[in-house]
Amino acid sequence: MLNELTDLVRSAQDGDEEAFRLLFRELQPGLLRYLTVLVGADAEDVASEAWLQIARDLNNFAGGPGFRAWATRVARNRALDHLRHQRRRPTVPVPVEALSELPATEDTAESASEGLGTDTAVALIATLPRTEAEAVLLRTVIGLDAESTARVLGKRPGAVRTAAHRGLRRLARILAQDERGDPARNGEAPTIGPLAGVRSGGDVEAGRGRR
Amino acid sequence: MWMASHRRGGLDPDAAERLLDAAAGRDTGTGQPHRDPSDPVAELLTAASAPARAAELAGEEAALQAFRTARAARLAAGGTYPEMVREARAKAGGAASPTTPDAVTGRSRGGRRRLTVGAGGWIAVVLATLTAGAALATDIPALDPADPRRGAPDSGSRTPVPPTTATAPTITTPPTGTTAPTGGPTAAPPPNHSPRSRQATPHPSVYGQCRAYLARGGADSDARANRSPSKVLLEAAGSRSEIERYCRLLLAIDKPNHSNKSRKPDEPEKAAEEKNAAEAEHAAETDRAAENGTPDRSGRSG
Repeated sequence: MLNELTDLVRSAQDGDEEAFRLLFRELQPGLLRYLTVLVGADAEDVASEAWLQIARDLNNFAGGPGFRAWATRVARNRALDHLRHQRRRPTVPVPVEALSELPATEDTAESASEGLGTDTAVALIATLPRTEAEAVLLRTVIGLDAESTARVLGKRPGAVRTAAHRGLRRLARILAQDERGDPARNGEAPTIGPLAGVRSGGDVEAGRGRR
Repeated sequence: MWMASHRRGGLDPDAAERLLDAAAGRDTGTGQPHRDPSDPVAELLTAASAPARAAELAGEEAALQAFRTARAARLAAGGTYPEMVREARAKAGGAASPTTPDAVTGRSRGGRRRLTVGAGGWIAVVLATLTAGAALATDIPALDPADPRRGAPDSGSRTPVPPTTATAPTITTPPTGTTAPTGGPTAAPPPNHSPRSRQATPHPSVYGQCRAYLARGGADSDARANRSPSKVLLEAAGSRSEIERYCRLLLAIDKPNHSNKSRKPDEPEKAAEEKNAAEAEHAAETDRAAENGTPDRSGRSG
């Protein structure tokens, strides 16, 4: 799998368009979900800027196994540039609707097999303080190990591990809260339940972390 | 069992690592089950890293177009010879052209020869110019050459082709220079393409105005100050609402023209890393402040 990616990168560097297409398919979903957490609705735009740069700088990449991290760093830098230009808090448009869907999907019979939707899951992760959200996403959705994640975020591996663990604990608490008598579960007040409260709290924190 | 333990908020580090690795599809090497569907956090992580959905790959063609443009630009800037021939063949097809691919192939002995200027380079310049417009057009509707609203800043009806890494450096050099491989009448560049390509780049003042526009805060600040964007920007971007996006893209694309030519592969990445580290440091600081319960900052009141 890793070797496969390395081979694809080499082919793409040699000008192979199909290899580049496969790289895109492999990386884009994760990047898009990660960018959604960073820049909200602008994720698509930022992702296409990132791919513009990836295509342009592809031959500057030295090769080897680090391509996933390299591409992620490109995307992250584009996102940070974007935020700097926008000079406003990123808005994550998904959570409110997503959270209202959360109880609904769990009420249905197929929820046992289908479980949470991807958007809902990403939206929940987006409620974490930014460092925690990034650590969790890079390690799971993008699929980097702790060391690569640390390099992308410019932190030490230990700090990144701690952030990811803290994020998971926070998520566990959110989900546990949701299970205990949340009125929103019955579809009464989707945005007023405990989840919504936790969400806005996390959002404030994440927003503050950006200034 | 870790599943039970983090229900109480006490997810231990090992269990957390297992969850993270499992969601990433990595072998934990511990013999533990990779996924526990009954664990809500594991379920959440699995959902978040589910396989691609069709909508998520909508940008594929645009990305490929960017790849083609970049490839053509690389070739123009001195790509490898076999690559160039392949490129020329693919693009030129059977069409009769002053620079037939066969003429190029005839001198391809010596394998990976670098050409900065020459027939191959000229083919690539032309290709880059042709493809670059299309690439950007997919991003900015207002740049679509077919869009009647558009007018180029200084060349009448001609759509400004965005500055690719290819056009700027190569075009200023006379095509008939002594650096052309071994010469030959068939290798002469199509004479009409040079001036057209040059006109095709946006007027220099667009760059400056874009920088100024973005520096003073873009559309929001203009709206607040009740200020109209300059005519040049309006024309270049196509419409008022497109200016910010146009400028960001224009300046983002233009950067490599200056920095990328150094041919030191590691530098851009290193610079990015440093910038990155600084930003992360800043974020960490503010995160810490946030977690310590620092009261809200004045900046957020507006």
